[in-house]
Amino acid sequence: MNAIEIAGLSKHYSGFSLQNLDLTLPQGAILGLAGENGAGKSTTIRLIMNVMPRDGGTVRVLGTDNQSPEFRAVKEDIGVVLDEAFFPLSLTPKEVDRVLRSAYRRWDSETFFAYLDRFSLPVNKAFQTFSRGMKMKLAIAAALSHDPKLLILDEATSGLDPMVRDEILDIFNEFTRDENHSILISSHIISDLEKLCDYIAFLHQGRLVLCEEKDQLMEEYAILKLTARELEAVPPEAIQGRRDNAYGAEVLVRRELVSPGFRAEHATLEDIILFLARKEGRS
Amino acid sequence: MTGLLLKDICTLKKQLRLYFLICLIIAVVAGWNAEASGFISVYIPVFISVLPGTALAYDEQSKWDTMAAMMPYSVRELVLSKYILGLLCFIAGGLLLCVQRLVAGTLFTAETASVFCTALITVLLLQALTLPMSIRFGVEKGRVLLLAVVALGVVILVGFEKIQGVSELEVASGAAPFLIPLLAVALLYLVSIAASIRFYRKRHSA
Repeated sequence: MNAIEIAGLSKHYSGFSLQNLDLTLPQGAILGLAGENGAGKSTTIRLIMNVMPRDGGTVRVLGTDNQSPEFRAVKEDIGVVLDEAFFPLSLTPKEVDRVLRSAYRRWDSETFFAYLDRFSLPVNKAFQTFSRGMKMKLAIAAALSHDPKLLILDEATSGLDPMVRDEILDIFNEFTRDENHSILISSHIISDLEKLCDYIAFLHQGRLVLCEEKDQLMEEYAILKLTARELEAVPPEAIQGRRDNAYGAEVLVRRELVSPGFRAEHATLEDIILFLARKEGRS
Repeated sequence: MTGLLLKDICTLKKQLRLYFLICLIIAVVAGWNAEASGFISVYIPVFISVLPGTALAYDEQSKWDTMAAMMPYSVRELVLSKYILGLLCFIAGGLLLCVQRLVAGTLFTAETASVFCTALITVLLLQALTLPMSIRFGVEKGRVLLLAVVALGVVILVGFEKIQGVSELEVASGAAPFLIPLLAVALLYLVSIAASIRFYRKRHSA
């Protein structure tokens, strides 16, 4: 079973359209959703959670159509962390535990307080006194404490310092050690996606540019640093993105389409996304 | 639903203490001023019953609705919880009123019955009108509407007293004359719940 299956999903606003999105998150995998601001990542997540009307397409989450009445019960199995934690400001983590214990059938206070302890979060301080990092940690602790099968994370690590991000990525990795657990994570921080994800989807202006296994993606692309003359020898169909500089150009190429004679450098996921975004921006 | 009510009660804990204190003062003043006792006593449950509006304001401030939408709650539950909170507030205010009347030795009188009915009508009317507006347009605009509703309520109340031939509330009249207005307001309350559910869906589906 796939954790998420999206087919032909469309949503139109004035000035923005999510167009015919097809996306699959296999169970047990981590799918990273990359894209610039306004690319449609948050819209996709809101449509997956069925909190806004769509203009077309279908979404199945953990095997259930998200527009069916059964989806409400499926929400018990989904832990969501949005780009901000939206707990009432005067609530303390201890009160959050009391409130969420009544909201989720499988809420585990012991797990929740263990996470609070692990994150060094105070139990009796009001949420409004927390720093952004503390707020996000509380949201992550809450999302993990009702025994979810799927985590949906919308920019959950943005605004956190690198050490905290690393700690949280470790927790997400721990979560997917169970083969029934899956994660959909959207982030601007491509290095986080590179560390964590099995699959990468890249959205650009509401359109899915790519969705591939990360390792395959990293093998598929390479960077060439060439003079203008050397560049002429590269087949145009191999060039997936180009950045001109004073010495010539830096190009993203499909490894299989260029001669092994070229000194191809490893392309990071960030390189791939940036080059492709630049190319898409021009097209 | 229990979680939603718990959340509101936890959020309102500071206000609850303050409101309780103010209601206590109102009760003492009502005890002292025997002539206007009925009129003042009505304020106890009415005053405390505006708390669902405050809870909505806190939800708006923290964008709780965005988070609640991701949780296993239906829109119906999210909306109903505010109305149930409103009724719980009325019950709490009503209990305070009972204590005040018990101390004053006027609990089992026709005047107390009319004070209760007046308070219940006012509370149901206030909540029935302000909650859908706050849910549809936001709490700030809802507050403006609350003032308009209070003014309207005063006009209706004065008109009702004139029709009934009662010049002052403290004149004991019992619960009977309130039966039809109570039924009408209860019906309005049910319509209000349905409207709020519809408005909530509309506002949060944009």
